[in-house]
Amino acid sequence: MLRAVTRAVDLAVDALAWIAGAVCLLMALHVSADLVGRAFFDHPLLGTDEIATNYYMVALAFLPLAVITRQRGHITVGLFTDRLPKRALLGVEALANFVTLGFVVIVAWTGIGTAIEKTASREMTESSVGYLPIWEARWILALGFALMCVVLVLNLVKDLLALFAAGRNGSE
Amino acid sequence: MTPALWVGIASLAAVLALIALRIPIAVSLGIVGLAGFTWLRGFDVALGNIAQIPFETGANWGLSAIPMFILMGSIAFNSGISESLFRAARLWFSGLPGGLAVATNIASAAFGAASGSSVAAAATMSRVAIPEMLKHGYDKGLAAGCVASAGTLAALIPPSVMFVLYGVFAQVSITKLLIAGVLPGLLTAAAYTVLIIVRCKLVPSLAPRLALAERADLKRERWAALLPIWPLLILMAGMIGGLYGGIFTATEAGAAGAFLALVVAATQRRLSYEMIKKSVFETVTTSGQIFFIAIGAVVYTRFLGLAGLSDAIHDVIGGWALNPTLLIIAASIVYLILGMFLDPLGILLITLPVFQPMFDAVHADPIWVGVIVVKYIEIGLLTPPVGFNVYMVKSVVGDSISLETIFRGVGWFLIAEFFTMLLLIVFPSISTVLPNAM
Repeated sequence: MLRAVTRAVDLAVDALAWIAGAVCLLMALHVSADLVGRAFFDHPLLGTDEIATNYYMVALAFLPLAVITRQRGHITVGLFTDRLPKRALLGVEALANFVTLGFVVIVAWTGIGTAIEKTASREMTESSVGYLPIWEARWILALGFALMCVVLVLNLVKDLLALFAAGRNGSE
Repeated sequence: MTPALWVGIASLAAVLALIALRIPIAVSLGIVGLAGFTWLRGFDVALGNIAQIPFETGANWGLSAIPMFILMGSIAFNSGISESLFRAARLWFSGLPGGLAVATNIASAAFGAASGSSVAAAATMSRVAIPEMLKHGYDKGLAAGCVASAGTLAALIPPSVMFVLYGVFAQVSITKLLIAGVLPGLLTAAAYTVLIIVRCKLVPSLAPRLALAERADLKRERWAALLPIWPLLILMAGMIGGLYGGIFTATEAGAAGAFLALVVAATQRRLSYEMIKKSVFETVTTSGQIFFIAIGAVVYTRFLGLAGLSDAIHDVIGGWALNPTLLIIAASIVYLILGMFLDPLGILLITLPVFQPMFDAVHADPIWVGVIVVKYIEIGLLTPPVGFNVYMVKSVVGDSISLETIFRGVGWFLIAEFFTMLLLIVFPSISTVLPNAM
């Protein structure tokens, strides 16, 4: 059961990471093309800044969150806990995961709320090429944080299972 | 003390306590900020802030230079430029006392022209230079300390992620900050070089010297070794020249730099699908980490703003803070203490709203202040107990060198930093002469 869920979540996490990677390259090419167009042909690609700001950046900031969480790659300080016995360390990890989940659930929840609201009002921004719709970008944020929540729940379940297993081994 | 000041101190203590419990730095900052908002204005206001801040922080044109700089550095690293640099530097400098350490230092400075991140530069050079130094019987503390310290050069020599962050959040020209970092970066590299040579001259056993015959061999290969590093010279000239001449913005510099790095890798036949995938993946995860911390830090600092911390600190030290010398001493102490416990981005965002108004009040040049702050933040990456560059080196060397040994090795470089900081503070023109000439 856990394995099937993990596999399904992994697919989604990988998909978002791939999209973020593609966006990263696309942004480098798009911004470079704009620069070359402006510097050599006096013909910049209009709207580059706005698209980069409201789409590429949003994708780069939020889509990788789930994959970083899966790798347990968010920046932490282990100095005060590294030397704890294994079981205590697992307990601390589980607690840290739980607190993180609490925070991220709130961010994801408000993110989804904002996305629904901005979709209803068809949010736009003014750009050099007229009005650019940006309400879609709100969903990128919501998706990134929502999937991060799912990964955190999985991490937490795995931590608790490991903790129980360590407890059983310890009592035998 | 005013209540706001207590709120500031108590909340910072709470953040540090959560960080000590292995809770991600971003979450520690964010949760304390959220609790603070709730306490001051109620849960609805807290939610309102949480609904806005993440998107605002991500969708930011100024910050878009960060993923581009990271991409440029990753591509340069994965195409093997760091090995070529170290090889060339080794051939040119290994005749000096502590020659391999000097070479590491110079290669790190050069790598800084492709990389914008201090921790990434330390990681890269650890893999390349530490095994070589240990093989030649170098002192472990010197080898690891040199790599950890020289990593900070990447944050001063453009490109630089820290200067982008400082520029965006302090509303100072990013381009000018990047150009301002050039001379302080070279000064720091020079100070490190002097330190290494003097130490190895006084205690020769730290770094066994090469035999004369071996040195003659190295000399013959010197010029040939420069050939593989020409791409970096192009990147360096393009980046600094373009920024200085106002041809492009920092984001464009990063994008063009990444593009150029790809072209260079292609001409050297090092471009592969795997290499691009690895570089892009590194970029995506590193930027994600940075943005997540930025969001937490912005939530926390908005709460500090609401609590009136800036004004409170201003009132307490307002009188004597009008003396620029005392202000810079106070700021130095605060940065050194915070640098011992917090990550760079956290320190930057927490201290900006407090110090910036004070520096403005004494009419300090904002570019100079930016250089000083970034220098202190980089020193914070080296100081125990929480020194991210040292941790990074430790994670690369594994069990072969202890954390204590690395911190002790870094300690010597902090002596060089003391003199560098003194020069940068006493002579602001070291930082401002280039950007002012733009």
